[in-house]
Amino acid sequence: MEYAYVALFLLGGLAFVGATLTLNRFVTSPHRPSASKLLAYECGEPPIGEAWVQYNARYYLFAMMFVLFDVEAAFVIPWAVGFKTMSLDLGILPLLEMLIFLSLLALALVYAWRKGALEWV
Amino acid sequence: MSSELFTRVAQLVAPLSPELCLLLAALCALMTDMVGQRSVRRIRMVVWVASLAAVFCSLALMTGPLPISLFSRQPAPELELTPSSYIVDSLALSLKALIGLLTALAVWLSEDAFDEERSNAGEYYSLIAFAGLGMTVAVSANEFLTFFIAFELFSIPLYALAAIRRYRSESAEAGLKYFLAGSVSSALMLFGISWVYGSLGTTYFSEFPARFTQVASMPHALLVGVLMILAGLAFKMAAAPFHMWAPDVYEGAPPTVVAYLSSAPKAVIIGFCLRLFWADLDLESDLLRVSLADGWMLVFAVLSLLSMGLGNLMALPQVSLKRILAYSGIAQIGYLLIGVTAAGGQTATMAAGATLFYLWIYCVTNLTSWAALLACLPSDSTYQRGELAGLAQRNPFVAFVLLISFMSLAGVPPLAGFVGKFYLFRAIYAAGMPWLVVVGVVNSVISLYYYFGVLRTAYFDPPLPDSPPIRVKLGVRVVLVIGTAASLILGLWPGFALWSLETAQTLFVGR
Repeated sequence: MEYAYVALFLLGGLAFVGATLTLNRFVTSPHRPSASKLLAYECGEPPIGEAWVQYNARYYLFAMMFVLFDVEAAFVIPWAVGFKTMSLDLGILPLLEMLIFLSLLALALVYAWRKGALEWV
Repeated sequence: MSSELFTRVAQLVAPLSPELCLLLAALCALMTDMVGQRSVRRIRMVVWVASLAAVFCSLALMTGPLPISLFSRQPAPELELTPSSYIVDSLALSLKALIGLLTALAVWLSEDAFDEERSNAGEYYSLIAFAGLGMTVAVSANEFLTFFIAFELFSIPLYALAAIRRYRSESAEAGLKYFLAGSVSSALMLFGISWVYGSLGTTYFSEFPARFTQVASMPHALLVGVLMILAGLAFKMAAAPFHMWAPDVYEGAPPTVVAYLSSAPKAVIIGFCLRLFWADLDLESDLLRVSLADGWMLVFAVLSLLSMGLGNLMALPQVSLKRILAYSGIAQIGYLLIGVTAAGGQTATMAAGATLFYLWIYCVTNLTSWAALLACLPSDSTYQRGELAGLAQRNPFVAFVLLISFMSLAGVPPLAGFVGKFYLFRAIYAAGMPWLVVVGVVNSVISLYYYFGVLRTAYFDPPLPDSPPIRVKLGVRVVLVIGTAASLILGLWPGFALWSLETAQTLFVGR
């Protein structure tokens, strides 16, 4: 029965979006295209060339390297918080496990470095 | 103290040895590639030796006490059992052995398969090893999130492998299509997992039966969740109606990669279906199974029916060998799903054993047929059926391998494929769905047409003028010999086939 609310919200959401778009289409913005209206909007400048151009997607490599460290932090912090209780129970094992994990990540970084992922071309 | 530490580490490392072999191989391949000595031969050897070591470790572990549960957590206060996220049981180990074998075969197959100065060979082999690692982890997963991580761990390398000839547009296209279809399947599955978690409050498989008794009736949210997970799995194994990506991807990706990605992931998914849907095959107390069995059996039966029918009918008009094999793969998944369906019935052990048996046969035979095509067609070939003309005169050995593996795939009597299909049909008959036997047999007859169409071209058409001579490389030859021998031995030596089947069945008793 609780799902009825979900359905209600769903219907409400659909109705709201539908009504807004329909009103917008028919009441507030009549559709009368002209050549200058159909131009790509470039803050007042006349556009230069097509929007479909090739550009350097090199930035994603840095994003991926960031994820490497992001995941590292996400794992290391809870490990550090629980380290004391863990080492009372398991001895040196938690330390070893984290070292293995960090060395795997370090290997990935060295690999990316070696392959030139850190050079900006 | 130090001896105690050693024991603890050994207890953890020994059950994980197949995974560790592949992990070390992948890292070694990466590092060798990194230091710059581009010794592809050494990288290849590391990966195939490690894959065979993984096979050996899996088989050795099977002789020891099983199952081994790893990475357990504290039991929930109201439940007795200790849930573990990782289980090393005989089902997992037998699949690990299969995956290791397929990885080794794929590596042998890849000898000089692509121009190595342009594709990074080190990366190629380490991606294969990482994919193998992901699969060996996935078959042991006893918890949804572990499975999902492993699923991604083998999917992502396979996307990259499909696009490894990135300087060729068709390979890039195949990689992109595979990636898109695969991401959809992952997303569906993850969303489904969240629904299951929402309705049962756990992701641990061993807790499902107990949780299920706590909820009074089948919650709809659980149904939605499980259906979404099933859809994600069906995408990955290219079962109809989720098969659309397969022919396009198989056509564009490098054939060595296709040989691997069309066989090994199917082993993982079929094994996972057995584990998840018929979780405790010999425990009648499993309420999830008992209360749902009929419904799920029908769902699997429909998937199987659609896969067989669509796969076989769509394969008929194809002239591209890659597309023929792709649709044949879809049909074969239908046969395997017959076994998964039957595993929900009263004779679950027999059916699960037959499924595992056919899975081994299919994966090896499928890889062998790709190897045969790879051996006899030039690397810039478009894989049209006509290019096989006169193969029997140009290279009788490859033609014979093609004959044996295609006849085995079609299920012609004296070969392994027939034995496997026979046991599958017997299992589904015993499970009380004789109509699926009829469908399966009719489909086998349909499939004869296109398999034999290819063989007719290879055996009876005269060779084209100026066909290039066929030189089969050593690695490929090894794969061809192993695959053909497996098909012949299992078919012609019923005692051995029966022994393998019984071994497969005992895997499911008293797990």
